[in-house]
Amino acid sequence: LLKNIDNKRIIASPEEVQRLLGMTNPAQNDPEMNARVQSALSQCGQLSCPQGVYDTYAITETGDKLVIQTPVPIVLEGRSINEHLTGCQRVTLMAVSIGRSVEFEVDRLFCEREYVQGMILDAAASEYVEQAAEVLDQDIRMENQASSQTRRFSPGYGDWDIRIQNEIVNAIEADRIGIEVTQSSMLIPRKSITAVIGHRTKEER
Amino acid sequence: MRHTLKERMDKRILIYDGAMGTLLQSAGMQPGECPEMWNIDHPEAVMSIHEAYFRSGSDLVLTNSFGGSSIKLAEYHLGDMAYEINRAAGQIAKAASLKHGGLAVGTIGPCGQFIEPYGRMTFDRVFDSFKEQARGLVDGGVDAINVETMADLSELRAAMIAVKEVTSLPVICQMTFADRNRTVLGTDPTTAVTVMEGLGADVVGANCSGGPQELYPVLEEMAKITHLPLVVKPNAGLPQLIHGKTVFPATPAMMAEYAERFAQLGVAIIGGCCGNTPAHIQAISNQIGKRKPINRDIPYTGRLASRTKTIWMMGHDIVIVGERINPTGKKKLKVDMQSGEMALVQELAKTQETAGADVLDINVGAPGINEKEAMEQAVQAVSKVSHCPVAIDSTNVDILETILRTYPGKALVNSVTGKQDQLRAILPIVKKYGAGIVGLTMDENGLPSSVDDRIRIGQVIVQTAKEYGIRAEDIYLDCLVMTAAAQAGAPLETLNALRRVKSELGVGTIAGVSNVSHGLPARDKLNSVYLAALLGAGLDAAIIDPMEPKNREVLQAWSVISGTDTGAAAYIASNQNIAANTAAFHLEGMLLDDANRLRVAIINGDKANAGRIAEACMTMGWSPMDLVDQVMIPALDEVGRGYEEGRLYLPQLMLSAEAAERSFAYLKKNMDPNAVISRGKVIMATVKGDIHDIGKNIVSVLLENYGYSVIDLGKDVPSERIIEAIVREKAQVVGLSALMTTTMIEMKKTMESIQSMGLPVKTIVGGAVITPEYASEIGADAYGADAQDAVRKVAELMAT
Repeated sequence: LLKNIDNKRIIASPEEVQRLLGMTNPAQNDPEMNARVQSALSQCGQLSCPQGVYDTYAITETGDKLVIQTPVPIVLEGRSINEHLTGCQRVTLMAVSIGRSVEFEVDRLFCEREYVQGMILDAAASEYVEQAAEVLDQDIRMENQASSQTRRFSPGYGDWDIRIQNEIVNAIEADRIGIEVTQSSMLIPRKSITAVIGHRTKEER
Repeated sequence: MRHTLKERMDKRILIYDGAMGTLLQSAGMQPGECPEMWNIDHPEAVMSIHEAYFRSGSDLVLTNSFGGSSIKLAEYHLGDMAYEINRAAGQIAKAASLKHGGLAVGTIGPCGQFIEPYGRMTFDRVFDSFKEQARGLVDGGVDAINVETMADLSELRAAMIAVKEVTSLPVICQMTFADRNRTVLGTDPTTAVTVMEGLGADVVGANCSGGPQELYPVLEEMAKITHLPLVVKPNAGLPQLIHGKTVFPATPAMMAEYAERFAQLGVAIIGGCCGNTPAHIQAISNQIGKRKPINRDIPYTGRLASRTKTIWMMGHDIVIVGERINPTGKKKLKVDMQSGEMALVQELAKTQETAGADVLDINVGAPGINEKEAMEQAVQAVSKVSHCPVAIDSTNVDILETILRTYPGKALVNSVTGKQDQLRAILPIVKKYGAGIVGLTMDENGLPSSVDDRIRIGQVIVQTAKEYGIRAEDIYLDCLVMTAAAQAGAPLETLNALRRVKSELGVGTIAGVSNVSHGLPARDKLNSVYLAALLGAGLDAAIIDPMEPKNREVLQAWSVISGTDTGAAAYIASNQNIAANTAAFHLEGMLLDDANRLRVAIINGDKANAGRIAEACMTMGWSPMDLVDQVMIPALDEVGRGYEEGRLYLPQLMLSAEAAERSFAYLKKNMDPNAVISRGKVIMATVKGDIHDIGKNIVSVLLENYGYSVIDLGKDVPSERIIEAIVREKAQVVGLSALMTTTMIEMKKTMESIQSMGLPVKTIVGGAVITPEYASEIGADAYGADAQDAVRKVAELMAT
């Protein structure tokens, strides 16, 4: 399933961008920086076309490992992801990207020696893609109200190896929204996220 | 006959309405549709929302015109329809209010874009857009106007001034506050109220924001200081995204509970913003009932404000007005003003503020300076680096109007005399743009010698100001300090006049102290003694040189004597180390020196001027290498220390780097090609497989600024290319970056190749996942914890 994510639904937090930039001390309120963060976030909204792909699969246990029943099954290695999805009957794999335009703009700013603006826009884009993922996350929950859901879990959380990126991207054909995986398991565009959400049957009462 | 807003507020606490947008959505508005267009396409739907609020207990409803400025409507290609849309909004709300016996309030929300210097929008465009909107609302028949949800004081001012040009209807004025009770541009509640009062708001307060709990401390602060009625309209809590929908968590019961607390504070109008429904309003209305607002009885007080800070002009400590930004007799400062560079002006602003100035007087009057242009540039430059409000030292009506119109705060006009034509030209501007005013007790007949005549002129000024609606508390009379050498006893007459002005006219007092010593040697002695005498006579504000040590001594001692320095704590603290203290303010010599201007430009991150100042340094005979070593690097070190001590953030460090780079670019361009500014070559690279390069780029920039030749190979660089570059460039240091666990291994491989080839190069590594342990495990010579640390480590590596 492929979805365009409406920019209007993305609620990005300037405080989070400041946190990403290391601006964590509340006593040092810098109006100029605050304004630049705000305008970087609105620039993200103007430049990017966030998109997401997701699909839902059965998950089974083989030995002591969980296996997602994608066309080419994905074996989950590592304690944290196996614990996270314990008790789930189905999982949704998702990938979200805000595209490359913001990334190009960041590169352009660095080339033009506008480092501060570049840094701020880069941090704003990180928060923006996170909140774009949040929108898709909420839609997935909406569409699966019969079950209860786990938190969204991404490769790199806990001990879940990021080398799984390739398998996730292949399974849901995230190349449809332009996502590629490098040999070192990084996502291109840089501002992309993959994740898994588990579904458990609600307990009868 | 319908009662006015004021009559209704006197009788009982009024209930405002709740949200509009969410109800329009429930009525069928689609995402991407313009809510304000519903005034034209579906007036019955808007009408029924107003009616629902009236039925739930609202006394006032807001028109459906929050985003009705032409700038905002242009996002839907409806900019041309702004007037019509707002008039329709006014008509619908008016019809509903007549049916239910309530009032219709025309709302004006932000235009969605920042005004210069934070954004690209000009003040005048925003002003025009709000003016057209206000005209539409007023023609639609509203009973009052509400300027709301403003985060930028400039935009609030544009809206208020526009509204006041269109109508004399009552104006309610609200800002929205974020973290730490400040707006996103740093305005605190006291400053917001100070500016709103100055612009003639009838009701002041806050709306939107995080929710009632976030707005409570904001209203609490406002309640303590303003004589005006208060309004609050909080969101129903912080918005959360649940099941793909924006949800506001506060229930009607929670809003009612807060309404009660706001009523206890003395708030006169209570409602809700985003997320509040008729059910919330019903709960608030039930809670409040028909009780009268608490009588707060706060007197009006004279204050000045910048965008981020308020200065109390009376009844607090003595107000210091710094007089140093004045080109008279100062050649370098004059050149600085003429060039428009304003670097020295900024330095003077910062030093005076540090030395204790509360307000900064700005005078740009000198032959050869275009006063209007220079005043605009100087006020902007000062506002960028200082929190102090400004005093505009000019009597030119055109200049005063230009500056006051866009100054984001409440400035002081310095000055008017008792001359009728001057009063009638300047006072209307002071009123319109909300400023304070200095009045000199002289008139057409010059400077009177008798105390009685000065009091009489003072009365004329106060009386004429009153005609224009300016309060006595916003007037600061200057009884004119006479030169002691010219006329024996004249300075004492000024003291007598000052005492009488204070007791008879109810205004503030101000004095330019240093006049007393004109034509005499050792002026600092006379000035400081006279300052002490003026303080004793009850002076509220002194125009002095705050950097002058003798003045500082008097002020410090006076704080102890007047009791504002409780327990003499400040006095004791600063007199334990007198030598260090006085030395810090002897900056005179340094101030005027080009190299020091460069230092300041780099520290302030002033990239617009850093190149030009470097040029000036070179024409003064500095060699590029000396400039780098003795000026730029110490400046960068100073900023770097601030960063390491947590006083500055990385973006601020980089602002300085940007400025240093502009100077450096100039030096390189104009240097003898044989002369080299380089303290060594560094190769920088993000290792193969890794596509993150921002951290590495930042380190490269800093290293270049510190005078190293940096060969940046980019990202995703295979080890062979790195080796080849080391050999070709004969680099002394190579810096490697890796951000991911999957690429750390590649860093190790690159290190191994360098080692196996036995290259005489030092290595430094860094990046998100790299630890000092990993660095030493793979045999790196150094580990850079952050950008500044990397620079220091490279210097160490170069030295060994």
